[in-house]
Amino acid sequence: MAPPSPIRVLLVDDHHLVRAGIRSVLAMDAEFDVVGEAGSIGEALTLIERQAPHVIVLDLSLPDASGVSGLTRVRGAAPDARVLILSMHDDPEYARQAVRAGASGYLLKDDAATDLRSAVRTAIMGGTFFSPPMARALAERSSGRDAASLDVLSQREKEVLAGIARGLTNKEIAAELGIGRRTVESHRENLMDKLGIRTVAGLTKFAIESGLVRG
Amino acid sequence: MPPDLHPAVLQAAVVLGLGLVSALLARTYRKPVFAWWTAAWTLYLLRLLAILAFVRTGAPVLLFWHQVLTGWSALALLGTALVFAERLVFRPWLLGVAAIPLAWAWVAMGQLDNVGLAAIPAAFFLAGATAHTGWVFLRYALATGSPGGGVLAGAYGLWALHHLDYPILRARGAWIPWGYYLDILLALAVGAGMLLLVADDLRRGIAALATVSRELAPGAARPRPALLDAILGQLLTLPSVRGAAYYRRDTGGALSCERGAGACEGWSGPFPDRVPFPFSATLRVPQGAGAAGALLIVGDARNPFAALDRRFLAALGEQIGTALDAATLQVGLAQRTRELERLQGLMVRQHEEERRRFARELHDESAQVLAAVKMELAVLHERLAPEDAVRLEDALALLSGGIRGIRAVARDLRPALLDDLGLVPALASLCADFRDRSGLDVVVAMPDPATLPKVSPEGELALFRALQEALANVARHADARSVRVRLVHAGDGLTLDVRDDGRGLAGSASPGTDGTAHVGLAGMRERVAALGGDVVVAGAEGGGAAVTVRLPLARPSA
Repeated sequence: MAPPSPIRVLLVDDHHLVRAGIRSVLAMDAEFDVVGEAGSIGEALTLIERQAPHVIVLDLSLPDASGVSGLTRVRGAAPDARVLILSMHDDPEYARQAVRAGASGYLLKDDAATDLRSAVRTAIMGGTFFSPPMARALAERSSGRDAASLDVLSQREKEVLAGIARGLTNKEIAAELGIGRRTVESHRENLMDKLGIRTVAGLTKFAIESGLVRG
Repeated sequence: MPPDLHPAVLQAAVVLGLGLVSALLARTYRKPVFAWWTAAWTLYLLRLLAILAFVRTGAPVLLFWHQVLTGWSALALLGTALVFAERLVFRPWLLGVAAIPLAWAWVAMGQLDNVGLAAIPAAFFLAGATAHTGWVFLRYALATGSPGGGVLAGAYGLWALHHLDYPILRARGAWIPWGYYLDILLALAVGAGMLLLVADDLRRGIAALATVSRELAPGAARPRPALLDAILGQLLTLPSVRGAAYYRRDTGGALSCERGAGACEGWSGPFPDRVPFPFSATLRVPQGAGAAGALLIVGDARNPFAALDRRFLAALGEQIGTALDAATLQVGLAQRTRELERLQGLMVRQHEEERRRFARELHDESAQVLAAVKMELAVLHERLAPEDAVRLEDALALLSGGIRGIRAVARDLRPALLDDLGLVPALASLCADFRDRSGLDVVVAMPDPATLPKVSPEGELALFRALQEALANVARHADARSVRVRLVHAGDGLTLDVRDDGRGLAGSASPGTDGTAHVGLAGMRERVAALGGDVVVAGAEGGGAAVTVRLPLARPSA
């Protein structure tokens, strides 16, 4: 089944800054059409009736609903629409509960910039999308670890990882890349998060196995 | 001296002895009853001296005074009994009674020739007064079980009869000394009874003192009403006491009944002027707080404390006052403690509320703004040339670091999970998170949230923090390989059980070995105790430590 074009998206979030951000991200592709913005579940229910969105991007913390109760109400009003959770909460338990309540994915707001478009596409195709850290945490908690992939890293993060694998300190990496030490630390944290690997040895092993550096 | 008078002299010696004993007692104990007794024996002695003098001189005036003093000494002995039993109330007509012997002696001596006619009314008067005396002591003996009272009742009873037989037998020419010897015997019996009575009375007083003091022992701390009830209850156990009440002096200085027991049960209002009981006694109770009071005791016969020295009673009053003060203080202290506990609970709640607000503010506002900025920058990132894009990536990385930092702080401040998803998912998440971070094998057994009754927000938070602390302790000290976490709903409470297979109590949460563990555990205990639950830390079977947190679901009223 071909996805509808454009994909009608409804944004439900009580922060208009966040809604504006999402709008900007989706506006980069013509296949998305943001048909409405709601600041609460109440507003969302009205807009669902009027706009018949294909995908609803829903925050979990709203003035008139917390947790998955809002999700349940939205799903009840729009049984055919896909609901994608876009939340600040990074505890996998939220994702588990959301999916159990019928969400087509769980995306962290800080990953929206890179992942929102693919998440909406996955959702409209009937799949379920998780932010990489959430996916990993869920997988770890349910079974063992999934093999991480270089693809989740940005260009800069790959460079930092390569530095780590070569045995450089944060300061040396910073000097080599011409950026601040604090920035390197931040990249380092991010890539550890994305890969789910917390030790230098593990990172080195991963970098070698994935061909980023030579062993 | 004619031999007939020898018994009279002997009797005078005996009575003098009794009078001296009474005078000694009066001097030592300063009780009115001994003064009365001294007076009675003195009158009796004077009566004997009058008859002896009359026999020597034959002066009729001496016979007249003998008659008068005989009557008066009988009345004085009756007065003594009434004073002892606390039944003597002065009435003007009593003066008339006292005048009878005087009047009748005048009539009998001057106006009548017939000895029998003259003697019989006087004998009945004496017998009546003496019988009444015996009756007062009999009632006292019956009310208190005093052996002295019994002896006196018997002696006076016989004496009363003897007063009747005397003129009759004498008129029939009986041997004159017979009367004297019987009088001597009876006077000795009364003297013995008197001493017994004094001993009884003292014993009774000391018993009463001991009875009341028993309730005043320090350490038996009770609230004031309970203490008062105990003291009044003890007073009621004393023989012949029918009721007792405590009167408290209010700020205006008036006494009003605070509590009554026995016959005084339900009394209220000001201190009574008169009570419908044969005796009433008042014990002054001074109090440090300035609110002095008085203990009123009513009953059938003689105040049980009457034999005691005034200083004893003052000391007893002070002791009662001190105990009441302490009890009042105790109540104030208990109230203050409750108030402090309430305040502490309030502070904990306010503290948590503050943390929650902070966490929300950080997580739901600041972090979201950063996330929004990140989205806008990402849009920009796509439009930039590759070399500029890399620089923007650095900014994005910093943003991610900032968001991560905010998340960590917010989670530490207040677990949003608990508010958003409920207790069981929040606890499960803690365990999963712990598993990820520690690498330990964490086995979790929790009931289906749907089967759990509603837990108060405070209860949920207490369990959440308890698990957090227990797991932190395992990580810090236990050196364990695996942890078992179990939440059980049983009866009217929830039990959270955290067991590890580490080094056990010696190395883990035993108080004192490690400051942080100690503080954490104490905090956990306090939080759980505030909700009526408890925390037990023990060695688990097969080594390791077990922390068990029990929380009642129906919270007892604070």
